[in-house]
Amino acid sequence: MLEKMFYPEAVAVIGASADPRKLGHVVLKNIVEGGFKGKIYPINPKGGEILGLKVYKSVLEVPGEIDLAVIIVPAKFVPDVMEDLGKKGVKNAVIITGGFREAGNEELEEKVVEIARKYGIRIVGPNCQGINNTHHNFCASWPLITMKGKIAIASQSGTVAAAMAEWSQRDGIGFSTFVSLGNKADVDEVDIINFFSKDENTEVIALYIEGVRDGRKFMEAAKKCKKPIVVLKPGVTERGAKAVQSHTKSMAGRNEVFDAACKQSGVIRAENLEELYDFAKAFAYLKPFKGDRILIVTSSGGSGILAVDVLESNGVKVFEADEEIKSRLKDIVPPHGILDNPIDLTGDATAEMYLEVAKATHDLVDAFLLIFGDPIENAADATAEIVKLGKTVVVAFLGGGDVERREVEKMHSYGIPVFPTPERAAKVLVALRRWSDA
Amino acid sequence: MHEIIKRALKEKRYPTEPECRKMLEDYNIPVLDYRVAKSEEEAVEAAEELGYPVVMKIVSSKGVHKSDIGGVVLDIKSKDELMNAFKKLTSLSSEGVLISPMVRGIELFVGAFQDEQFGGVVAFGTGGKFVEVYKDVSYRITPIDKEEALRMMKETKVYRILSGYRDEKPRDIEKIAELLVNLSRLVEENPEIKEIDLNPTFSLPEGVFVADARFIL
Repeated sequence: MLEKMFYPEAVAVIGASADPRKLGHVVLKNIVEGGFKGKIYPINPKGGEILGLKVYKSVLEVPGEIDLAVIIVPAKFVPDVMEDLGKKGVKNAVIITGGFREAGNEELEEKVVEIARKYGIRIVGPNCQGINNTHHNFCASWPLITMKGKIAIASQSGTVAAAMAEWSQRDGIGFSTFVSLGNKADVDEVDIINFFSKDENTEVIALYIEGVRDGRKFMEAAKKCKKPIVVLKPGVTERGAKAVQSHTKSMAGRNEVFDAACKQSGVIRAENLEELYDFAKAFAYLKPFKGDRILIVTSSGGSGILAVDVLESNGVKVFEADEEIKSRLKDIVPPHGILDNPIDLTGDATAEMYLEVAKATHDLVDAFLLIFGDPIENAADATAEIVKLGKTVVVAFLGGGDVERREVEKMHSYGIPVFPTPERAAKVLVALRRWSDA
Repeated sequence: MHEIIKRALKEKRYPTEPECRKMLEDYNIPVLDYRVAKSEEEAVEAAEELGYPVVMKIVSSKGVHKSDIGGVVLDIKSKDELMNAFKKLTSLSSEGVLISPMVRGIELFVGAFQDEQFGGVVAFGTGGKFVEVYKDVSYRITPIDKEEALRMMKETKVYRILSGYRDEKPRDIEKIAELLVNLSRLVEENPEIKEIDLNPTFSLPEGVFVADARFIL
């Protein structure tokens, strides 16, 4: 149903502006510069031309059909705009404008929703940062990010979504679609799960939500969705829940109840923004695994221990290397290294050693945690070979200077996610394993 | 909806503890043996049948926290103590008293409530007066099956004790899981009940028994 919301062929930007400082300009510019291939209709009662596009005074003057309207006019004008959309037969609207429920204007928001229902218009927002579908070259948002990826990001905080999008760009993995949900007057987490579970460009759904409108529907949608869903839901403390109330007027609800709902419907719950991104990145590229045999291979003893502590304190037992593993590895691990789990290859480690270790042990383990804790050349190519062995491989790279930057970039280009600390990589392993239990 | 809930709603009151217990029994949730007494003679007779020591508490349709208002007398060992307790309790509520054997075992918290966003929720964990302090409670959205009940139990610390810890013999975990499944059914079929407190519920070597029941409508 929301196909044309996220994959429009013709879009109207209502409140398009010639003033580069205004959002009405920025959004239009990003749609144009993002390379959108459909029709673009700037709407402004002043008429004229913006960015070389003819400006219409109203959507009613636009000759062709419009799939989606992006609305950036002040809140009080939105009901009239919605009426026009209804008359024009536009079925999708992204209302970027704020000043509704979140500002105490519940009635205005209800009025907008009422008009939308009357005409069968679906709404994203209001009070949001727009949408950006990289696979459709459609950025009705800011900043302009065009890198295509596999993560769908939907968020009740514009900044949280933008931060996720920027990190994904910096990592060179991109995202599929970015949806800023704002006040969730209409399109909510359930719509997002239902739509992106079927979106061919999306592998994982990352949600930042401050409340759930209908808990049972959320669970039902999540259970039906075959793709991993990662959720960050704040308002865990009493004070935090109160802050949620004033931010988006969502009901934070009881944290332990939401937690139970996630467990029962196979939703991965992130504890913080960093985890939301890490888990989304992991699930976009890595396969969940069963079993407890995680072999840690490291060049840094300390980093290995940090990973062990995270695994153990999250209920994942780190097995001790048995005689079989030791005998297979005794000629690979340097003499002053440690032949246990973690396997410490020491500062003498080479990428080839990692590969040798993996080749010798992959039939005895369920997953590898590779920690590159030094400037290890060719780590990316060795890791790509290790991935081919068929086991889940999680990588942490740190303390590697320029070599690290180069190798990490390469790994990301191979579709191998890399995490910047052993703890974050270990947490990813915990999540991958837990999901396979669900 | 169960008859007892219908009647309580019609009479604009909460179910009394004997009513709650009756309803739990209808859902195959084992409750600790009990008698209801309206007079001193009935109370004495009940205590003798059950055997001392006993517990006596007020019967009330106001949904009160009985122990908060002094409505529970524990460990009554003799007829004299019983008669004193009866006088004290009947001055707090005229609806009679409930008498039950005094037992000692692993105290569990079993409960349920209706959540605004998710509907029925069941809870399980460490019971007793300090539930809120220990916060050793896990939750599930109803309905749940036995596997889910077991997963839920395993999340708590008290599960380790139930599995056998030092001098505590392992308890019948399956029985407790069944209790949770039955409670989940009760919650699903009676959404009019806003809150259920079965605290404490005792895990004894011979089984699991609800020792106190309070329903809020």
